[in-house]
Amino acid sequence: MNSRPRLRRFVLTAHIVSSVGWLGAVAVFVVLSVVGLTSQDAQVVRAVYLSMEPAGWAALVPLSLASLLTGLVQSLGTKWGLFRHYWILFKLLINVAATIVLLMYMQTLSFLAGIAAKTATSSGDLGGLRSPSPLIHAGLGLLLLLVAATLSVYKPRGMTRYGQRKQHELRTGGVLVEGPDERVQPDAA
Amino acid sequence: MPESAPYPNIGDETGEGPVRGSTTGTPRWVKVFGLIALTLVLLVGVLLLTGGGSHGPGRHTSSGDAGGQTPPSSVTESGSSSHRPPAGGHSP
Repeated sequence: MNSRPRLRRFVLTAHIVSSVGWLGAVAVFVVLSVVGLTSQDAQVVRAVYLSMEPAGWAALVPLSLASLLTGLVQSLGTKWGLFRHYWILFKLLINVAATIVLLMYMQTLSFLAGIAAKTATSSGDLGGLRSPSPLIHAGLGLLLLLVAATLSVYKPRGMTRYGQRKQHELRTGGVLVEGPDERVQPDAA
Repeated sequence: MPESAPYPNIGDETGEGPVRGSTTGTPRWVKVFGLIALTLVLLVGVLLLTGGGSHGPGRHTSSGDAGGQTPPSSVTESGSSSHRPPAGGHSP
């Protein structure tokens, strides 16, 4: 049957698009953060901090959740598994941590947008408006996502103890009913 | 007769092909990554603790550490009343 391979390719495509899209969106936030810190134009600085919150809700949050969800489906739906290989485990930890920090940081972006909305547009007020916080968070987030992308491409060898045990079970044929992808037990158990 | 995959090169990605990486023991790269991750977590934890709970938007916008300038009174007043950082949340 071709339905499963097609479905897997669809999920894989969705995972790549959402993950790379998330990385690109964070890269744009790094640029916006630098502009917010360095621009001498008060209107530009205000626009940067005002736009970060809606951009975060419209781009960062959906892409991060889509990346996490499609990653879970992709790993649990194939024999890669979720806890079998170290590189997948690291990617999962990176994705979960980055998503949690992002969701919590949205409150800060809302806070900064509120300040920007109430700040006068004269250049003298820019000192109180500028914040290195978005650059720090977006920069670290970009670094983490680049590590995750690199792990996805290189797939460095190494199986967890759980993965080695499952591999041993596969070789002894204890849990298979049709083929290597037809697992009886859920991988995330 | 088995049908050949139209995109044979992505079998490794979709989990259709053979999965490599069946090495025993913990690889060196895992130990290095784990050490880096642990260091980063500890570093962030220490920074949060030494910040005395002042890790938040106000730390960056009201303490004047951005360019050494203090915010205008209109900003601090509005920030302290209607835009207080959420309690209990991550307030970088």
